Amino acid sequence: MSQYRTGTASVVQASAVVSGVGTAWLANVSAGDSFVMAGTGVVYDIASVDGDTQLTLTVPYKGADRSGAYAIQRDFTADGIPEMASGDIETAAIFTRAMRKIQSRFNLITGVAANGAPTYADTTAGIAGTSDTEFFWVPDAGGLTLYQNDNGTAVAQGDYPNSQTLADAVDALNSQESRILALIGSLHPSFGETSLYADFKAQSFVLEVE
Amino acid sequence: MRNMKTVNFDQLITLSRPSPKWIWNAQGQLVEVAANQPAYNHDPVTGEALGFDVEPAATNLLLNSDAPATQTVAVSDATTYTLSVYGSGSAEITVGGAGTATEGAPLTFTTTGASVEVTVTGSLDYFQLESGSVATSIIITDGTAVTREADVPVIENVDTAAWWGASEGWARIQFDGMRQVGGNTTLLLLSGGGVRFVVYTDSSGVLLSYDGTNILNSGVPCVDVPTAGIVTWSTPQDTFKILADGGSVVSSSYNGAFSGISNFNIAVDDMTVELGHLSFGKQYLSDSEMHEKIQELTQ
Repeated sequence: MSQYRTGTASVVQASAVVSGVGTAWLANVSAGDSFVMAGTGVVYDIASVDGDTQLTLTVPYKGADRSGAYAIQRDFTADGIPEMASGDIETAAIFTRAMRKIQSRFNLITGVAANGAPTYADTTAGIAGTSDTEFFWVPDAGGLTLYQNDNGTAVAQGDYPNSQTLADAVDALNSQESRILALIGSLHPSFGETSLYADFKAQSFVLEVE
Repeated sequence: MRNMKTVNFDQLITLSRPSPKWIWNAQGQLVEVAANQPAYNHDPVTGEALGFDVEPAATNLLLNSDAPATQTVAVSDATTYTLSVYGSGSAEITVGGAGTATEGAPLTFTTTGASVEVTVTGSLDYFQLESGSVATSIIITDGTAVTREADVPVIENVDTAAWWGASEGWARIQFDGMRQVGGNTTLLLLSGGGVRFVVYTDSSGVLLSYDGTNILNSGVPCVDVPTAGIVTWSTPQDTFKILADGGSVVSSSYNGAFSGISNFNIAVDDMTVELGHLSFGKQYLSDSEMHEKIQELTQ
């Protein structure tokens, strides 16, 4: 299946709605396909197909108002990597998008998503400084948050605590443990007299420490 | 307030067992435990936790143990061996001894020559032939016999001030499935200044205590194999006491000079046992307190 390019499309800056003329999108296009206005080189994801002549993008269109030829990419691998067919247009944009998605998968596989990704003061600066599918870090008081640029939207991938946050978490756990053990001691006086308690069946070991 | 914290096994006990071993997990699966790691065994049918599995070294003389086939292997003449199997079939000693083993019913026999023939009948998943009167955990073989090393659990670098009182305190142990390989079986041993405090049984299931030179209460019979024991001592009072359950509670006491506890060992000598519990305290116990602590473990 190749790109769908029948009819013409119109886009308006800052609007996610795309209008069609002579289009039959309901039967030929699905949510998750990619949309590109010919000659722009900027690819968007389709959030919904609202009718034969209207669809909605996942984010508002960023470029200037435009009408004319367009292409809807419909072929993807199981992991969402775009595939190209003979006769496709905007192939440079599609190829670049495919490479970035593949790179993001590599980053995830190696265990540290976006290892070497740049750090920005906030998500606005991160979106402005990266391209679609790229990762970036944003620091806060507790550590770093990893984001991915998803068509201009910062999507959080996970939090990475700093040493102080980890130390605070360990202290909190130790405090809870001490309280629980003190409670057990009050409920079971025999345990309270014990300086070493090993339950091999439960694989639980408790020691008195200085 | 006293400061208690949870720790890992290796912060409590240093275990030496240079070879891996196979035990049953809670899901009834046979799993391999890496060398020098504690094996927590389970009932293969019910999944019930049995505790920390401690065993002596053993060698499975049968080849290709997980594809049982009739074979003849070399043994020592006039020696005790045990044959154990898993599966719906059976294995019979047809030359060099006599008897048949089925799952759950190992065969202990005495050899009558320098080799034995093991004849397999029906469907077996696994079989094992080892010296001694106890079927130990599974030792998987291929083209040669394989030896599983002994579990040697040791408490070392002991901070006696924090764990127990060197001059006054108590130690308690609970265990199941004790099977003796040979000689006296020591479950709990504390020593210092030439005196040894032990909870062990001889081959007749008799509780003994020992002062380093003399058996102190030989002949106090346990009705059943004991499953728990406790020792308490006081250097200022020059005394220690031992109590164990063995169907009925049996006890012994010793009054004589000793200089306190400096070493501690569990499950020494050639024995197999599943250790369930171990605990220490730092005060000398009265008789009633000892009985109470034993009952906590056996009721």
